[in-house]
Amino acid sequence: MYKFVIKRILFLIPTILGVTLIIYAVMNITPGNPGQAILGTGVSQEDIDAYNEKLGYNDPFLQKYVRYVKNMIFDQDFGISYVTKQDAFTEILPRYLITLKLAFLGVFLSAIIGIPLGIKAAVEQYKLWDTIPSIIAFLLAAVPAFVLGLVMLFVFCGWLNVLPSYGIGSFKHYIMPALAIAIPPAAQNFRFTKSSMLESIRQDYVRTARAKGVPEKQVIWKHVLKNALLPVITQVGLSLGTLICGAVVAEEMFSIPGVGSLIVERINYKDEPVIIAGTILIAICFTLVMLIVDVAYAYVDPRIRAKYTKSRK
Amino acid sequence: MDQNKAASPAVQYKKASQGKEIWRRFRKSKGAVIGMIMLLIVAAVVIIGPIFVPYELVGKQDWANYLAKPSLEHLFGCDGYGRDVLARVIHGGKTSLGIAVLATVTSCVFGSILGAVAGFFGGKVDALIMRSLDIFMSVPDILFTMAVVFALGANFVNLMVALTLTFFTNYVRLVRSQVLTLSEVDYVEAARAGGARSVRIIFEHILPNSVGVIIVNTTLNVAKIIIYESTLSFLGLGMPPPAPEWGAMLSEAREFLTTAPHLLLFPSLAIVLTACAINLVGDGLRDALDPHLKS
Amino acid sequence: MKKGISLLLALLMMTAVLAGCGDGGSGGQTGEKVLQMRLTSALQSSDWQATTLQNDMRITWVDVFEGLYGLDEANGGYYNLLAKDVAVSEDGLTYTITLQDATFQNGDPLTAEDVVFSYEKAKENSRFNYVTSFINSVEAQDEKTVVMHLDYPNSAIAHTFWTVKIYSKAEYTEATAGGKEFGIAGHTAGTGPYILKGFDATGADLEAYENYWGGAPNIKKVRYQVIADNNAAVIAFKNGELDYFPDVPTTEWEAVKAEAGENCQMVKANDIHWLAVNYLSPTNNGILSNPKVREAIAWAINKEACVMAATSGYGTPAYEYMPHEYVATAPDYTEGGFQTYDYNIEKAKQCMLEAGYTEADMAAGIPVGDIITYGDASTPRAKEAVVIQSNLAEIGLKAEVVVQEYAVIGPRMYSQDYDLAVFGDVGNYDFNNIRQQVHSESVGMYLINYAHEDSPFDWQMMEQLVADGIATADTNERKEIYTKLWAYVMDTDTILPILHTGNGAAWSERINVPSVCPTYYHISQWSWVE
Repeated sequence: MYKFVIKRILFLIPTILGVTLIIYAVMNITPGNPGQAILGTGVSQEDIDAYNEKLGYNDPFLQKYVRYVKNMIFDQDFGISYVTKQDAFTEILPRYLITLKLAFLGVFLSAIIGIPLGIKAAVEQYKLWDTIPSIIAFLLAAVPAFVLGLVMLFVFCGWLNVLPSYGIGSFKHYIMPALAIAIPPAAQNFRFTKSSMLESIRQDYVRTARAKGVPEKQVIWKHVLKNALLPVITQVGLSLGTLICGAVVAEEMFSIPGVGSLIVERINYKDEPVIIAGTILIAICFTLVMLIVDVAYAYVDPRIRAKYTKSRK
Repeated sequence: MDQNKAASPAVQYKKASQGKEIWRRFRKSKGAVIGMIMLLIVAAVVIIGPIFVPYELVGKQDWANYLAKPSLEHLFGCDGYGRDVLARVIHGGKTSLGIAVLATVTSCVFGSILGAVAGFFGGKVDALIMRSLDIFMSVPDILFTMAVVFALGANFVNLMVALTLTFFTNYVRLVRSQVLTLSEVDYVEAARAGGARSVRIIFEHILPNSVGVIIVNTTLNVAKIIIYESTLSFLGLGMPPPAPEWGAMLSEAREFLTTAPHLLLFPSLAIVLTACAINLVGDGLRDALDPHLKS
Repeated sequence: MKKGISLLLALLMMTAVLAGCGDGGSGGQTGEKVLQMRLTSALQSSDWQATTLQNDMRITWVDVFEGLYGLDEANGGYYNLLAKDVAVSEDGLTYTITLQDATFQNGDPLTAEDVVFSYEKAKENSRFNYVTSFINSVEAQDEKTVVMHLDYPNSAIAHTFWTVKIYSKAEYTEATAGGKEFGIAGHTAGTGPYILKGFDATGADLEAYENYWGGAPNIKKVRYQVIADNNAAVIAFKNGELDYFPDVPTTEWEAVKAEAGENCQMVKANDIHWLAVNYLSPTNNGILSNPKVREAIAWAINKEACVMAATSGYGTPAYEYMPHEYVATAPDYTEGGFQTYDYNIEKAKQCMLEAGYTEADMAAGIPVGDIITYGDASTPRAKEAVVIQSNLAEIGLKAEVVVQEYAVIGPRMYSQDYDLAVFGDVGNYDFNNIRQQVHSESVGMYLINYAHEDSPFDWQMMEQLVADGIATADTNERKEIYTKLWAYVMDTDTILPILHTGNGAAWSERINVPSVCPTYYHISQWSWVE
């Protein structure tokens, strides 16, 4: 078991290297450069070139890549932003934490809304608790997150004036953006939970338990739920990836200074250090979450645990 | 040779009755049927609509009708250039659905091939592909899309490329796991023991049985892509003006949120209804293919 | 049992998230009134040389730093600011400037050394070449007197006096010791009425400079908040979270007006959106090199429609490069003297026929290339491009609209790698600035290359007129010269003015705003309503 975990954590290293390489490659083939974007019009080409030279931007991309990786590993130095000339890591960290808060709040909301409703819908299949949420979930899963965001902005800020429309001053500031990005995944979770529950319910061992006279409530809670929720947990973990992307949109609409909007903003400036540092942090978070989900999964389901403790296929 | 022949008839027999059985189960689910009908309506509007609503109306700027509310003459109202919204929604459907379907197909083909190769050859090839995929997936998709669109401009082809890059990963995992599970099934073992070539096994045995899962996923992905595409347009990465694409129309509607809400309403409805219809059909297909629900 | 654990974990995570969300509280109010302003993105820099966005320049060019001259937007001229007196020699080559008794925000007095230093810094920056290239030397004659020697007389030097802001030499030198960059944090190196205390991704904070030489401002504390989304900004204004709302999106003007009542004003902006027609474009056998085709395009542009689409009707059709209301030396279309164009499809079609195209050609569609512009699809320029595309279609010309990031479009425009381009220029207060578009030395700024070897234009004459324009200081004479220049440019049909946008500002009842200017606002002139 531990070998598995260690292996996955070690895999972070090639991930980081790979991600850095991909980004440098992509930045290399896209047009634009920091000098041009920052200095503005009317500045002579020599000045722009000199500016880029000073930043080290004009070096061949492999050289930049190797230098960056060396600095990262040996000095824990993620470079200086081409735009603000501040240390990239210190610039990103607070914004990263904000995005994480938003994304996790979103995951939490999507789970707490979708899963219980899904369980209820499966248990009360074809009755009101099933049909109405199902219809709503269908509709909501098909609405783009930014449309939800716009509508909420309009209703809660413009019309009712109960929530702030920008910034991050208090918990109130996070509710709307988190809800906006959480609702489509919540709908997915609802449908997925319901179908997973239904599948579990139809398993033979459930029939056996019922036949043996075990009370229905116990059947549900002890047997069905445990097996139904496992794939749901993976699903929720995976949705973190989508949520981080959704966070970008929410950040833009609600003026939340998160890492998503930072990366998007800096792409125009080709601010490689910041973009890479931000992406690496996101990648690490993503990998760790997947690892936790997989471990939790294995921990709970003995069949899967066996697969990991045995020799890997 | 003889043993191969012995393996095939069983599969073929399975396939023939399978199709009918699947359709029967599909028809049973009310939701799926409703979804199918909705989808057919959408397809009809998108394909036949242009005959009744000529393309000129899409670009025709009529300043007297600046931001006109819905009326008998303009059922969906007019936008910030005085253009008829109904015409734009109908013709926009062509673009939006076109991109979504094509992008799904390309990502499906590309991803499936990669997944099949990974699953079938296993070992180092598998590890290389899957680990590269993991790294690739760590980079937020928005980044790729922005890079492609930023560098090459926003047009049909570039959007397709960007969308394919984002969605092909679904298929790799899916097809690979299908290949892995199916490889162990008896008749495939038998076929292999009989000396059948790998490619043949893939095409004759594995793919036909994975088709169901692939189709379900593909259907659901079309819906996802339509929504993702509109999000891209919102961020300014969609089709350039004056293309009548649903996502782009939503982006234009953003500044008229309070003054002309009908601009937000109709393209949103189009997206939601289409995505819902697709999801219903996809779910219906999934239920129809799943033997467990045979109650 | 296991479920209990997972539930507990979930609850713990939730509390952690909630707890974390509560921090980052905004400016601690100590009962003092803070003026609430808006930024659309994080402040670029606290150095006036490094700010290129108008929103940021409003802070660094007016509140924090000052130049020798200030900008008199209402009358289209300049007024003395840090220059108490300016004397010009007979030959116009020597300027003697006596400085005000002003102090920097760090307490040091304003001396000639600081002015010399600042001008040297500006000369090093190629961005300001167009206002510093003719200055030969700047010397300090004594503590309070600066002497400037020019290479040739230049009456547009007023614009230079306004553009170049004065640094505290001591503080700037100290801040850049060891190769550090100036402008990445708050500082006290300016003479302006407000001190920039600090800025980050969420906004910026300003505090009144009590010893400002012009008298301490009434409003003591200013908080700039970054509100990227326009809808959110409108909502913030309605909720009283924004005291002054500049550049109100024209689509929301009615709603904001209703909210602000009397406290709002829509003025003509000092900007110009124009269509650049690249006569050198090779597309379709160089169709754009045909002067009759270019004239046809000029007649085809429906400026009223552009105003409708791009500014919701609050803009004005443009015929001049700079609005004559704001620029004293600018040609005035109401006085005539040059060609003006208005939407006239008949004339446009006539020109096309004269250019050698038949009705059949026009019906089939004649490709004319791309209309490029920068920004995103919601900018006014992009909307004008869409309207113009439709206008061109009316005379049989087929064009595609291409909207991309400035990083991609900018280089294309400045290297003449385009067919048609919608360009926006802003903040011109002296007609001499047209030099950027018509003089061959303005490489990297002009969109049309008049001095190209294949050019049919008398570019030498144009450059001579530019030189004549600054040789005299008489406003009327300069206006005459510039009218001749602009008439010639209009005859080339390469720069086609489209519109001037409308600039709407609204403010809350908390403050008194005596006047609204098209470009810069002056917080030091406002006061709290008692």
